[in-house]
Amino acid sequence: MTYFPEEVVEHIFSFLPAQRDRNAVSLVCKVWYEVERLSRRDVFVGNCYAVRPERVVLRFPNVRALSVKGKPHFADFNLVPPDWGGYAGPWIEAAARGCVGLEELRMKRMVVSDESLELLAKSFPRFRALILVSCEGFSTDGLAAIASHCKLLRELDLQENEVDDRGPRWLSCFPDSCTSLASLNFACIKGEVNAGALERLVARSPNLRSLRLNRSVSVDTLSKILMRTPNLEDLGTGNLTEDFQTESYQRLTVALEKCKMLKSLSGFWDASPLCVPCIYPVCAQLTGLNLSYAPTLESSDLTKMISHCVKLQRLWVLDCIADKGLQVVASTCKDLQELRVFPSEFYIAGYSPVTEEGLVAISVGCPKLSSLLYFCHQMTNAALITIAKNCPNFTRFRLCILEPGKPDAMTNQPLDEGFGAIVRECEGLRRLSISGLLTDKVFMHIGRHAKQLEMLSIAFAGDSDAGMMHVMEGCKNLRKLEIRDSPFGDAALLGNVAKYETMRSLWMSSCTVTEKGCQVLASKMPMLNVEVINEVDESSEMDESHGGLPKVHKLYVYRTIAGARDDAPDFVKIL
Amino acid sequence: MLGMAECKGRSQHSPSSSMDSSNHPALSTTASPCRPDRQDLSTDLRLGLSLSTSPSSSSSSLHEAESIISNPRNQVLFNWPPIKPFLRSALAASASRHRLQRTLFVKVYMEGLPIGRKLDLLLLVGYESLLVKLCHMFKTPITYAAVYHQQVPAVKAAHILTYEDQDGDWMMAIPDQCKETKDHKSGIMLSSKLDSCGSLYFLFCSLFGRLVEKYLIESRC
Repeated sequence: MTYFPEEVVEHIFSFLPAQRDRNAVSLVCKVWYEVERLSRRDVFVGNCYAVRPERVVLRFPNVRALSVKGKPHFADFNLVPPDWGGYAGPWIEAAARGCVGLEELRMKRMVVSDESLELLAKSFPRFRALILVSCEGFSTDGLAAIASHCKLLRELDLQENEVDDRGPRWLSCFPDSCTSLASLNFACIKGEVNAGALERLVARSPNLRSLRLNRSVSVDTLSKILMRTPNLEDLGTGNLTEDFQTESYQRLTVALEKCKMLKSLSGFWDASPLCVPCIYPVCAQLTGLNLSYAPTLESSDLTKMISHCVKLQRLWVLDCIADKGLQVVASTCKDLQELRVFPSEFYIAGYSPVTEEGLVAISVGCPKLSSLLYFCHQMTNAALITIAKNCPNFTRFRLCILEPGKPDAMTNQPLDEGFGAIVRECEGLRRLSISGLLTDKVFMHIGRHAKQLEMLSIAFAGDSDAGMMHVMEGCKNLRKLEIRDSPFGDAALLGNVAKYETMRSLWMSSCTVTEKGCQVLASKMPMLNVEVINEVDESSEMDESHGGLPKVHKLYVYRTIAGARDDAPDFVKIL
Repeated sequence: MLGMAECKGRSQHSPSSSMDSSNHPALSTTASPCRPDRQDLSTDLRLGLSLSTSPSSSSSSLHEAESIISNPRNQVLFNWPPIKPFLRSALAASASRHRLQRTLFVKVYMEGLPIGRKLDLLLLVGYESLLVKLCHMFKTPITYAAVYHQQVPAVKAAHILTYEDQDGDWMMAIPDQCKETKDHKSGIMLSSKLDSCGSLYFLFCSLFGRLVEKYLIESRC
């Protein structure tokens, strides 16, 4: 192969889009390393602190699409204190200096400032796509900069970010010459947008395929927009709370009927049940439906809608749907692959209208189910065993029983056997979250059978260090392990230290790890950053009262070639 | 989220299709029945407010509700269940918006006067408060059927409260009628809408399913 001209080698590499494969060929010889690095177009950085941005940019100067993730996953649930880190600035600055051909930037759980967005907007003449997921630190002024300066912008996708709203001006900043928009998602923007500016923007965007509006957009504006977008494939509605305005809803139905390509629907912010019949015309063509922001729709409304959705593959819904609603899903949606059932009344401990019966019904009716997130108030081993047998194709299985440590609702036993069945039957399982009353046995099952498992989330589970050690020993493909409120201590932490180099990260909070154990880990494994995060709050007093060595409140361990980071706040100690 | 009263033995959140005047959990008081099969004290519950974690949103009016639940082991739990802040605040905002912003306006006419008065039924709690309100508005005592145990003392120029049902008949409005028509299809829809906002357990205008547009108060004497 080394006798081929470099262009040929490069062409061969172009058939290897997967980063893993490209990393592998880079290791063969220096020539291949050079050819590969200069031709790499997509770079994915799973942990922004694993490598310095300058180094990435130096190695891959011709990158077109960069994807960076910041905070650990448990940051989604407020477990990571504010100001912990995950700053986008250094990445954007490095890219601005070193890869001006950048076209796409994806960031998840990072802190992005308006200044960074402005730098981004002005530094990359071919920039086309900005996707920010669960980020924070910026305002609509930053979006205004993007709109104003990115002449070729095709995609602006803001998913669940915390955005400081400084008014509707940003949307008007798209120049009249901007006609390239294919995807616009501003559902997380809290304030008003200028309806006229929005309509004009849509009117001059013939390539628009995906549009997700925020709550402020009225039904009438939505109808007007839809009349202009017959090729729309993905729609996030605006405000559907108006009552008794039948004309508006009739107009909406007419407009929706024109959208023959519509496959995916979301939004439904506090949607009124009156809007449900308007959706009927498109239900039969939908493959994706997200109703998780509509606590105002009751089980009967939901089932009426879903009973028309025969092609549905992805459904996100609140638990108001109830078990009997899930039975309707099971009998209607034979192609269902992904189901998420969220709790609607999360502040009420332990009660939800969905139980194990709803999930069993789904497993019977939807054997193609591969991805599940299910919040419920009770579960049984028998149900889990049945579900595992019915749906062996699970790749993602996340079950959250609302009351921590709750046993099998019928037998009062731990749910070890139920989850054991899941990991045994579902050989392709890559992601697992467990809950309920669980002993070390469940970890034995996981270690023994979950060979493809990449990510495991544990809360209020296990009896002893042995539990975590089963997982560390057995799960060969484990990349991310996150644990909260479980009795794992130093022995578990130090049981298999070499493993951490094969993993992206470990998170442990409210466990029984001590600072001494962390020191030992840090000294044994210089290629890891061992971050001890100690905040002063009520729970830290409880830790000290346990006596003995002071417990570490939160621990975040990750492999890195960048060394200790220099942007850590006071409450983070890097050992 | 507005603070909620501490409540031992959580009240039942009845399934949404139930027809009895369900207690909206957010508004339930100690009068609501406790689930008989629940295990005891594991349900102490307080709702606290916490500031949003991101610095840029300090001016945001939406505070994330940090749910603090005690479990059977009597620990105080933070940040449980694991839901993203965006969903958490959307649901919290929805719950409070739901209670405060739903309206149900009706127009009430008094016989002899061409101009009706508008009234938001959802601001009233109970049949009596409707009568009191109307008494104030029209400056006339209102009386109703003698079957009701509380009667307005007979006054010379009293009025009675009536409404027009779907058949066009004029019916007298008494609170006992609230118990009927649970099976009427559209009645259910309207009453369940009222239930879901919870502030009105008085189902007066939902009796015959459509929005009742006017009530005519007739002179009795």
